[in-house]
Parts: sequence; structure tokens; C-alpha cells
Amino acid sequence: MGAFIAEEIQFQLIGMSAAILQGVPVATLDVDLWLDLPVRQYMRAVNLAVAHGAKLLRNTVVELTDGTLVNFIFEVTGLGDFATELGRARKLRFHGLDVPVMSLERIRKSKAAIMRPKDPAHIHYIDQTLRASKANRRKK
Amino acid sequence: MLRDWPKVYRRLELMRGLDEHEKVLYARSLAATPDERWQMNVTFLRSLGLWGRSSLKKFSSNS
Repeated sequence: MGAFIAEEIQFQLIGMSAAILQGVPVATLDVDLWLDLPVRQYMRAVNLAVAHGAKLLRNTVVELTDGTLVNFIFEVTGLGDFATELGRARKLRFHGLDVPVMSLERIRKSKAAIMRPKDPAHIHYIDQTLRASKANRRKK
Repeated sequence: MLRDWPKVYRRLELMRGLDEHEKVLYARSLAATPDERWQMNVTFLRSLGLWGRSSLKKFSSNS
């Protein structure tokens, strides 16, 4: 992520990796990084990752040196454009950086629009986490 | 921080629709920092041998 900041390529964390960072108690195999690049420039992102020691596993999937799988995303279903969603993103401290992270409400909206077989379960855990967060804030 | 989860648990105690196990789960997850949350994910996947490229062979991951 630091490499993208250095190259001035805007990004935001989305999907269930972003949900985990906000407290949704699930597991996910990869980090979904939405990049402000046209999809035809996917090699720019891959080359940047490879220059930092990552290994290319698939067209848009790399494995970082610590084993983290990163999936580069260029379009997201059911949401606004990159800039609109970036404006709505939360900033969270992660791996020593302030990283833009898509809010749970927006992740939920995207999942409700796609509705793959796994999405109802994810939506359930997102909803429960939002409820629990509300209860946690209310009683502070 | 993760170690503060009992405080969060007390705030969730009266939440309806969650059993005790789930309240502990959400309390731990909400109390943790983003880095701690990610580390819990990594630790869980490693315990199942599902960290890194080996997970792609076991699952067809497209999320």
C-alpha cells in the first residue's frame, strides 16, 4: 500500500478484508484493493507489487512476501465511482499507514447488488456487527 | 485493544439475537484494533493451512 501512495495511485480497501478491519468476525483469504486505474492498466499495479517482492499468481492477484494475497479490483458493482466512494471511506490505521477503508454500509450495499452464493452470509455478519457496534457505542 | 474485550462484552450482554459465544466473538472483534483484527484472521487461516498461495489451490477464490 505504501508503494501505491508513493506512486500517487489512489486506492481503497474493500470487500471482506475491509469488513474484518472494521470488526466483522469472519475470515478471508485475500485483501481486495480497489485502484483508481483503468482496468487496461492492471499491469502497472502488478509491476509495482512485483518490484516490491510480490509474486504474480493470476492476472490481478499477487502474493506479498508475508504470504498475503492481494486482489486488485478496477470496477465494483452496485456502488458509485471510485472518487465518490473514496470520499465516503473511513481512514483506519493499518500496518502503520492511514488507509482508506470502505464503510460496512457500502460493503453491504455492494454485496446486496452482486448477491453471489456467499454474500447472504457476509451480509448477516455485517448486519450483526453494525448492531453490536451501535450497542457498544450507546453504553460507553 | 483486544485485551479490553470484557468491557465491550458487558455492553453487548443485553443484545438480543446473539448467544453467549457470539457475544464474546463480537466483543473480541470490536475491542481489537484493525491490526489485531487482521492478525486474528491470519492466525485462523494459518491454523487451517490456508495462508498464502496454498489457499488458491484449495479454493477457487474470486472475491
